[in-house]
Amino acid sequence: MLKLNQMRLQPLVLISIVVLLTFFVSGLFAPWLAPYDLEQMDLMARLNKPFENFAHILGTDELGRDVFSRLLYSIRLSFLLAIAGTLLGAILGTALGFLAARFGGFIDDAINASIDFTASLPFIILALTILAFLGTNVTVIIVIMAVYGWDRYARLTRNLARSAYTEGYAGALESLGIPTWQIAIRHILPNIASALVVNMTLNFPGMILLETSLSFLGVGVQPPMSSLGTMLGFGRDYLTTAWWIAVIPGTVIVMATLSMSILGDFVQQKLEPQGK
Amino acid sequence: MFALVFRIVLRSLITLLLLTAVVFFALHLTGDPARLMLGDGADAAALNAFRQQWGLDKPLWQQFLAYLQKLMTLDMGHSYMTGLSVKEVFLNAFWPTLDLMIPTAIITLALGIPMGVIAAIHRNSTLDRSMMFLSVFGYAVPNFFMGVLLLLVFSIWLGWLPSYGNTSALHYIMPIITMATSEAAIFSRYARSAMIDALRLPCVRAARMRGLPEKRIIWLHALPNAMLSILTILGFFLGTLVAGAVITENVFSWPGVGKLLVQSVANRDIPVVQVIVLATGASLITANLLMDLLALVVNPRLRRTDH
Repeated sequence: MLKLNQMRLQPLVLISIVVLLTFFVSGLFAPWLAPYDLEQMDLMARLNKPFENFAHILGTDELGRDVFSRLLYSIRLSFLLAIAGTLLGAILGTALGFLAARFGGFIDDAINASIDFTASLPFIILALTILAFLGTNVTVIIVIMAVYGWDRYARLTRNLARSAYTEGYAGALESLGIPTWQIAIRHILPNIASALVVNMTLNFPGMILLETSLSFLGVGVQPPMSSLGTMLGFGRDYLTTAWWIAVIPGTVIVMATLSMSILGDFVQQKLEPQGK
Repeated sequence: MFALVFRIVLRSLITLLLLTAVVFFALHLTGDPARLMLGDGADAAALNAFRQQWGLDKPLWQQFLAYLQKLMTLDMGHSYMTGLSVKEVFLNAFWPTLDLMIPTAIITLALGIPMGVIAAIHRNSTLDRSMMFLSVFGYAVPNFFMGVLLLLVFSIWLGWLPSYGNTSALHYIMPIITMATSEAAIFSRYARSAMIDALRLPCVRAARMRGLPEKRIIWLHALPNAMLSILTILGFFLGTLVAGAVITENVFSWPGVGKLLVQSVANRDIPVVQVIVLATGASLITANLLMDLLALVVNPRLRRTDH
């Protein structure tokens, strides 16, 4: 998708990896790295500007909560949701794609129709609709993120598994009496693994953007929990007095999605040199 | 030819019906609107009265048939929250959204297509690389952050532009810039790959071998073919416009459909959500249908094969 292949990517890729690692580590160790609790207020130090004192290195918000600590916890939740969504989406899509290929007929038609259906609406509309049905909580957000992008995995797996069945080795294995799940996991999965990994890395920025958009709109992650989008949406209301509350998480989102796009492109180039 | 058109139209109709059914059943299976609206403390009499008022006491399939019947006559019910007619609420929000989408679409096309085509012609040059980096960057900056940054700089720091609402021409500037940057970023990438594919076509190679001037090759051989593939993604483009509008309207408190949708989702005002989803779905399905038909008109090659 992203056509950065032609660029001499090496320094950029390196920077991206460093950025992403920093975010991963910050998220992973947020409870130990954060100097304050997520909700800890310091009413004596409200609306401190960033980079002015060491007690609150990225400043504080209007309740005197430490922006740096909130940022770490938000990175943790946003990344956690994006990773969970990516993995679940990949599992769901791959499994359904395999089912479609293995059983064909009605199941294939139904899965194909669902693929077309998912692709026929802008996903944010679909996500908002699901939120309207199910209400807003973290489980629902994970469901939405798993549904996001499942169609691409399904299409990928279906096409590959189908050719394996119609003309290739899968049919042969079947006639040897090897169970279907074993064929799927031992024989077909390794063949699509690299395509799956490429798809997952390319899909990851979209995941971050989806969750942060929903949270920004106030229908995603709800307080007292905080994601990068929640922080930004909250900061929007204090733009006149405290720009940093919104700008800092926004910058982190841009750095994360940009780095992941660059890395995804690099991975694609390495794993699928023949692809676009 | 007729069979092909018929099949395309039929497919669109089926998708539309499927969408209507899925939205209707999903929305009704996942929660009791009466309880949602009246709260857990409501007594049985009040719940029953509410259900009777909105026809919620009948079996679901009857409700669905009644709903379809009403849709046919463009009667879309009433908002649970305000009691106002959904049609009215929706139409009031629809025009401001259209006001935003049309200029954005024009700017996106006017910017994205030339950018992509020029990048493709000068493939692998510094120009191409910088434009594509810009495009990746434009994609990575989410609409809501772009909007917030514009607000911060032009409304709060410089005080040049109004920050919310849609009462004057000045109000249009920031929302349109917000939407158009990410749209143009996506679009230029598609235009670029369409043009690269077009430049690889046999007819282009043949023209080159005949020694035709490069300008002629690009304008008469490559570009028309590239435009054909760009045409096919215009339906998708409308989808991204709608998605962009949902976010942008909420950043700038624009009284459009996107803002209405988020509000209705937060309030779980099901009839309003339903109508917005159906209207969006219907317009996208129609756009795709028109693009498919238009593609048949301008690209005779598609008429021979049956897809």
